[in-house]
Amino acid sequence: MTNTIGQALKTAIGGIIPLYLYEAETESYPYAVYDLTSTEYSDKDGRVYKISGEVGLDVVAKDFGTAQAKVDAIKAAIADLGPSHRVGNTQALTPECIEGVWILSLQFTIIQHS
Amino acid sequence: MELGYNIALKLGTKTILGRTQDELNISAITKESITKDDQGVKKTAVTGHDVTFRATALVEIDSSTTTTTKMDRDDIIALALATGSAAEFAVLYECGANGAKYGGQGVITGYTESSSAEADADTTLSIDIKITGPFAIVP
Repeated sequence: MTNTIGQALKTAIGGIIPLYLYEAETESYPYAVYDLTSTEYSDKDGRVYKISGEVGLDVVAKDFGTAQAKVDAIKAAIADLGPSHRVGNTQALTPECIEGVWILSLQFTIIQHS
Repeated sequence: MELGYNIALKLGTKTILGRTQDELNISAITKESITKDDQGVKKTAVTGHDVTFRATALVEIDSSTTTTTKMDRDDIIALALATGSAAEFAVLYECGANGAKYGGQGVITGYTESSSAEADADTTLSIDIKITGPFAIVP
């Protein structure tokens, strides 16, 4: 089973906000950066039946309202990633404002099944 | 050490689809006796064995492979609900390429299915099998 969690995120979120893996490749706001840690689970036949992805996603914007609206849209988008991916354990962390730039963070788990 | 995924429990000629764990348990059936010649010390003799298995797997349904090499959840429930001679099946237990293979006849004595609302939980099944006759090395 090929890990398609990153692709599912890109498809769901890419239309809402520019999305980058690990590091932003832009100086324009708003944008989102995510990191992904995946774990594969196999049965005794060596078949990968489940991939669990721990996602940390930061939405970065010049004002809180824009950042919050993007977070709300992202949460709605990831609630329905299709039949192969399910999202759970979604947590919103405390917002941060650093030198006038707002960072709203989400953590969630994506499960991909064969 | 034999790797766990090289140890296989087969029901007939098929393994269970999505199998994750197999357990073999052998318990001795003993009989105690005492005569005056034993001078107060009971003797214990092994007269037989209870051989049981527990197999755990993911709940999966797949008609394409299960007709040839695998039993899926529906196949197992059908076998668990069988009665009489239809409930009995050949059991083969293999331990890698070098371990002895053991076989016998068995019946399913219990079936459990577990499902959860949690997104990251696995849906699993567990079956208990009892060997009904001899359990011996298969050449």
